[in-house]
Amino acid sequence: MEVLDAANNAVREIFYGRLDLILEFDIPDQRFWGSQFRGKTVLLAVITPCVTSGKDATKTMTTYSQTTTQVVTDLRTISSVIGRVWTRNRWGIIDRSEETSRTEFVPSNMEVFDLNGGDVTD
Amino acid sequence: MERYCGYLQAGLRSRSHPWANLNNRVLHKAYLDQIDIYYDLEDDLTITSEPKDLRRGEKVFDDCRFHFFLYSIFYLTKSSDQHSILRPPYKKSYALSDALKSKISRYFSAVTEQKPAKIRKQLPENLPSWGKVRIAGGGDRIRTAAGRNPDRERNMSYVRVRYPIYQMISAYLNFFVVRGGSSRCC
Repeated sequence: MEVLDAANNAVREIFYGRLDLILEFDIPDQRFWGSQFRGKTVLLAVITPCVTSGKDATKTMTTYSQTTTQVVTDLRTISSVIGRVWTRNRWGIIDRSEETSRTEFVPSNMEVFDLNGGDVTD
Repeated sequence: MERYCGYLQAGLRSRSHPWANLNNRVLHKAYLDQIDIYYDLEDDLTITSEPKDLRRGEKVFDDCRFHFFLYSIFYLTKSSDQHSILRPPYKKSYALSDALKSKISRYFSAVTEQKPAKIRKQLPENLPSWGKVRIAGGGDRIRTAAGRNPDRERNMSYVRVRYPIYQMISAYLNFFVVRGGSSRCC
């Protein structure tokens, strides 16, 4: 399911947005939610993305003037806070994050997690 | 960065030679950091490091602790076992609008491969919400736009997101499937 690039790295889209809401969802312990989620607490982030067409503000100058419809994702996909500057009727993004020192959210559909239970041992 | 500037500023004593003060402040911090690293004094020497314990009102969920350790072996990233520390204001029940519900179900649909309509039926009417989050391991503090912001000068609600792309694709695919389905019903 994961999309990989030529160097076998998971392809990730970088985007910037406004964090609108943090929701705490205690998922019921039901088969419906699958082994990955049942009985767990998931933190959801409701974000209004800025239209930056995937540009990385640490590498190129990134500005935006529009936002798109809200998206919901895992809170752990947020890596850092950014600054904004209003200039020439656009917002410029100031991103001082360093990729190497940030924790990453990696979807847990890798086989590593199936070693301790789930379908593999059954 | 602002906090670091504040730390440097605390060293200013002289009005005529502030630069010497700043130089010494940076130098002494570097000395202390080196001692810290050499003797592994992270717990005892807390000059500017983040307090390890949670502050009043903060919360971390055990279930949200991520297997960063395993991944850090693979990805060689500096990481901790927990990512988000939630901070008040805490709202016990935030009423989910219909639009928000369908967005949440689209997200879960992308990660569980269940149909969004089915997920939607399983969602509760209300969910607890948090106003702020602190990223563990000395990360940033982020305030949600929904939480009230007493500081008009600074906005701490804008964030950088790294999104697994497959999730995005399937989220959009589901979006169109759902819309197609509903238009046929009408």
